Amino acid sequence: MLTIADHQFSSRLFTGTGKFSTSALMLEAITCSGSELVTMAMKRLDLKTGSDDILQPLLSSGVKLLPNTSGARNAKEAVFAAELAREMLDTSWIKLEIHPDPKYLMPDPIETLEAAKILCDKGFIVLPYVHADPVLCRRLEEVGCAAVMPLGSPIGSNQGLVTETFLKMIIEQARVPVIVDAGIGAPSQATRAMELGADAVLVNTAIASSRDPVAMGRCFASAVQTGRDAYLAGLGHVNSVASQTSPLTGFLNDTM
Amino acid sequence: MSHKISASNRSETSIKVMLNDEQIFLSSGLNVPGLLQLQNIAASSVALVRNGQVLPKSRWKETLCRDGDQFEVFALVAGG
Repeated sequence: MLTIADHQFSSRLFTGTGKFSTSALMLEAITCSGSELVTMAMKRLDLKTGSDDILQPLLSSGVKLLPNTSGARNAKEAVFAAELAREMLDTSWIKLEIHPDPKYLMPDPIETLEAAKILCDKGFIVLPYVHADPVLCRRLEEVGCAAVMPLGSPIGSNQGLVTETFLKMIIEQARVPVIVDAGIGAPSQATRAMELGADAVLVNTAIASSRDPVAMGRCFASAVQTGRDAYLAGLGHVNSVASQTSPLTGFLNDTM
Repeated sequence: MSHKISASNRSETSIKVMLNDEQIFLSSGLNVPGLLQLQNIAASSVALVRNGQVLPKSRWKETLCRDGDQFEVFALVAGG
């Protein structure tokens, strides 16, 4: 079981709710993925079109909702968004994300650390989305974040674990759960993140933009489980030279 | 002097508030849940900002709309 703050999760696959073609498909894909923590965003309500009305079906499905601060460009806006989310969902959990750059959606480390300090002091359970920066992750842990969420590659890019070297450092050093977020584009990449020792992964685009999101949700569920099992079983060392797996007796030379 | 507003004069006392950039004319004395109901907004799934400050749900009932108030309503949407 994975424990974040005081909450236990039996699935180490967290999912996002964006980019699905319909709400019904999103719900079915999430259900089939086994995900127990699901992210959502907030926006000003359009009085003419109303809301998506995806909240009640998600709540009924029993998943825990993790609102994010997407759209915030600085710490002040992120704190405001977190307070809105707390009012909306009666939850102190918040995925802190501040990415002012619209092209690459790179998280702003300075504003994120500042917001994390404020939100932790206010009693929020803060899960910050950050670049795979081991030093920043330590700092976020020190100010009281419940987990860290380093990126594998840019949001929605499906590029996989571009940051693998740094994810390893973060996983090695962290005393809070490490959730690899963003960029995981294939189940094999989720397996790899879990093999490295990540505590969980968060996947959205790879499931939502696949041809069959429900089937892909299942694929990610088994991929994450396989990666976790492999991590617990302990991977063998990587060597630069061959190491025989069969005895090399040289019998051909002896007889010919 | 009574501060009570009777049903008959409520409609005569009109105020203007902004709700997500739309002008809305209301009878004075309407509270926040009343405003949301009037706009067919499900109160259970939204958060409200009044004049730049988050208005906690615990204070909605006691908060009356005042002329010139600026409300912003936020809702959850799909996201990653």
